[in-house]
Amino acid sequence: MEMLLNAEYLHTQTFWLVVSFVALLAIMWKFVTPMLTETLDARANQIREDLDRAANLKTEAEQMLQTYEKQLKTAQAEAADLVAQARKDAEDLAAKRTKELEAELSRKAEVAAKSIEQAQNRAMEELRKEVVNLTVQATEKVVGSMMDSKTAKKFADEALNELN
Amino acid sequence: MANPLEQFVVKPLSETPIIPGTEIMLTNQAVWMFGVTLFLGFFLAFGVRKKALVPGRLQAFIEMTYGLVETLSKDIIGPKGKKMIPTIFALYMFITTLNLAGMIPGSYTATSQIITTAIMALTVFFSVIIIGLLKHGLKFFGLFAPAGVPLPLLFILVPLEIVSFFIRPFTHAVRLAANMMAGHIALKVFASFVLGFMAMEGVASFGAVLPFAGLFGITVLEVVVALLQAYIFTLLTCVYLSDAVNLH
Repeated sequence: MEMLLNAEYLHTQTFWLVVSFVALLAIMWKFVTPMLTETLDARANQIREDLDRAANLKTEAEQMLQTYEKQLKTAQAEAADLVAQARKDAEDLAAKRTKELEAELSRKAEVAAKSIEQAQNRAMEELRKEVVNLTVQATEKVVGSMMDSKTAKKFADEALNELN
Repeated sequence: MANPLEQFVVKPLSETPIIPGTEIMLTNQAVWMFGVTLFLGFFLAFGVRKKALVPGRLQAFIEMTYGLVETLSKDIIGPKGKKMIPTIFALYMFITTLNLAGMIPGSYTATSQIITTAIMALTVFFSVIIIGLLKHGLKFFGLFAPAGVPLPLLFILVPLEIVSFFIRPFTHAVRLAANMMAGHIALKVFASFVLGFMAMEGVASFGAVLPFAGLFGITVLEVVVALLQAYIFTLLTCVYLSDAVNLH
């Protein structure tokens, strides 16, 4: 039992464990650690790249959004222009039509006035003729003699002028 | 030769109890567990202190380790286990670091003590029961009677299921502790072989190279076992918690 608890033996046993452990640590340090750090660095790089790509994609998307907004604004302005143009065209057309209609109406009114005047003149002419005839007949009855139509016409004119 | 089991003895660092009037004393096991807890707290907090979007090496390492536990939990428990991931991660880090700390020569391997692993396994076990009852009520006991099994079979199956359920904390705890213990015994035994050869006379003492190669091989193996057993403990924790959360 004395041998089992001998401190010298215990220390030497632990010593060999230390040697073996240190050898393992050295091998780990030389071969395993580089692999491990490589993996860890690769992971960090991967994350960094992913972040960069995400940032790039974000800027790209923002630019695209801006472009679309610009295009939308242009399109809206164009549409507004088109509407304004169409309204103006429509107004112009309406004004033109109104003018044409007015001209037509005034022309028609003129024609009507002219035809009324003609009818008036014709009526006047007929009246005059009738009056001449009546004058001739009346004078024949009163004077008992014939009166040439020229004189009769003169009288009739005089009478009509008085009427007028 | 030193007794290879001596490394597992729990010794109080001083005879004065922490709480006067009791027999609770600061032991080497407690010191290592406190030390690992403190180290982990500072290491993790220091590693992620920058909260960098592009992680440095340390932060990337912690993120990847967390990712490992997260993937494990997502694969086994599913989306409902999201709330448990931090706890599972803490458990995983605690066991891994205790296991790896045990690899340092002259250190104390707290996870080689069944009491250490049993406390963790029992915590998981009771968590499963409490979470299961809170989530599913009495339906949780349907865990013992799988659906779609013909009635006569249930008479055999239900006792089996119950036994396998209650045996879980024991297997869970013993698997980790036994693995750690066996590995460390092997380390010490091979170290003794090295000493044994060296004590021989003349050329024979050079035969010590052979057990030293074995010692080195087992050291490598033990690091792997330390990582693997912590992972297995975490994986089984996820499997058991999945029962509570998903109920089949």
